[in-house]
Amino acid sequence: MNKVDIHLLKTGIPGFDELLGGGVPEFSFNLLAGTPGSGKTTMAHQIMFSLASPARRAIFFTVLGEPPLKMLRYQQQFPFFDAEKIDESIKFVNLAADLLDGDFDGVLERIKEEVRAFRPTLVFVDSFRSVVQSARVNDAGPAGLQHFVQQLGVEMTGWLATTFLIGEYLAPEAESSPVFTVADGIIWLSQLVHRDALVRKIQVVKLRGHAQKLGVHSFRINDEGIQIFPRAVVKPAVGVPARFNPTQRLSLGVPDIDAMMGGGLPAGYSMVVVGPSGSGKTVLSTQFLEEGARVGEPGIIAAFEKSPNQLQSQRLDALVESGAVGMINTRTLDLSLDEVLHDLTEMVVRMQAKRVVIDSLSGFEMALAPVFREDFRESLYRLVASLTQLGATVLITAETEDRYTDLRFSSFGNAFLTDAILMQRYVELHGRLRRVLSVVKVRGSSHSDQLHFYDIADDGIHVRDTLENYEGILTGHPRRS
Amino acid sequence: MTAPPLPRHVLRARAMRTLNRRHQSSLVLWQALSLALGKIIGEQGFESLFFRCVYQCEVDCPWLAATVDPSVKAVDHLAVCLATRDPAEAEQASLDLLNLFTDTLILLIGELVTNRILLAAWGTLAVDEAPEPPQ
Repeated sequence: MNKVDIHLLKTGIPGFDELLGGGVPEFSFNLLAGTPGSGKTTMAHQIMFSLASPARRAIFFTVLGEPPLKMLRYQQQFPFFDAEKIDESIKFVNLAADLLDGDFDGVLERIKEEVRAFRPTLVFVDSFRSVVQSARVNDAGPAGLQHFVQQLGVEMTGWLATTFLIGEYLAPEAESSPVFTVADGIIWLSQLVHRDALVRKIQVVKLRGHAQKLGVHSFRINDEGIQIFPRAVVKPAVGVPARFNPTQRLSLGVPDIDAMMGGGLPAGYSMVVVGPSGSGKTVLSTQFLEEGARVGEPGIIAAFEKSPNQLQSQRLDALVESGAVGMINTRTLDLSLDEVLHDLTEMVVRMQAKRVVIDSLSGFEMALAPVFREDFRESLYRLVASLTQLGATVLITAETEDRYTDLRFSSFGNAFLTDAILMQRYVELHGRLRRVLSVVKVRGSSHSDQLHFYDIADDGIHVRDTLENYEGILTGHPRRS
Repeated sequence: MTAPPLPRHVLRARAMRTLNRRHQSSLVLWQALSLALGKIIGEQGFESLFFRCVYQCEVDCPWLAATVDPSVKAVDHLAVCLATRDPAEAEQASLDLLNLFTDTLILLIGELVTNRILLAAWGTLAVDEAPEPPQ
């Protein structure tokens, strides 16, 4: 005997099916819950317009709450709203008058009547909170409401309809609501305000029948509708983890630095280039990507500090125009790590990228919404691990404060997360401000321990002599030894 | 060059041809629209839009707004008012009001959605050579 095969309906919301373990189970009875303005109606419409067709009709019951005229007015601003589907595939029905009568049986009968007439396989009730409130006002009470919800669940399942109840709920009352007991799936939308930034979150609280993606995930409502960014966990998003040849090294595009690192940056490593402003971190990043382009290794740069007038930017633009490098150029603020990682991952997979540059950590941190900055180190760990498991070698730039009396590898204490560290800094010698660099760490590899002078010319970084005849360089008191 | 007629006007004209053949008035269009639109936006939503248009027409047709009774439903109110006027004048006023009503609806929910609703409401009447109802 075969077990029942639960068909999963693709929601049409980018990232949502991944949270749901593939899609919404057919014939399930679901609750889309959340605070006002959290995007419940938009989500319901996006699902409905994506799924509805003449063969799979949808009926959208509006109850008290947002006036249907307003709903139609605003929702059609989204591209998924296809007016051609109205009437043939999608029907809107207002139940406000039925509910005002306060008779749950009457409301249920009206819903059944409409479902019988239109024969939808998708049913939406917005907002279900109105029904709950009506139960209180009309003394129907929890028992009446429970009966109504039970009956509705039974009826809709009997009609083989996948049902979505949309409601405004706050967590405390959710626990006592009968809707939460009856529902097969509960999707929770919320908004978090931290300082001046608003972050939208989604959680699949319950999903009967198969596993959902746990945790709280971030989402955005943009001009296209809702886009969900499933929380990155440290496992490859696509396919099996990349395996690297332990002897393979990637050239940084500066042969002398490759030599200092013991033959280049080992494939699959992450490296942080730390240094003060103007020390040439972006220059080295650009050379790393140019070298990749030269040897046929596509690259990606997430540029959080790019300025279009800089020479380096012009070199980066040339790489991007050639198609060898993809650029995620964002000045958008209030991002979540998952949005950045989503874009990076998508581009790594699409371009089969082998080299990824994040320029810079401070720019990246600034682009994140304040609430995500609190978990920045953890976020960075997930970001680096996810990218390297996709087969990329990662170079991150990090700006250090202009301190000359102590040795620091990053402002964030994040250097331990990476496999290699290249340090750049300024020293004052003979009345000149000189640049020096050194390889601090290459995990599992021998590397140079010497400090070298270096210069930045139009064609990139040139490594010069060592500072063997000096000591006290890093503490700000150089003297000839 | 003359602009092509708007879809809502084409729909209305076709439906009116059918109604004229049946010797029925534009009140039938109002009844159908009230049913179809009221289902979507609620009876109260329809009434509110309707009476707003009635007051907008007050200058040209003061008799439409003079006897508004909140307890009387929109289309019933219209039927009573039209019955007091000369048939030609009544029909013209009804169609003018209908134009204003659909234009207002378009301002709120756009032409595409409005046309879909009109088609749903008048679809059977607006089909050329619509069959006559059984006697």
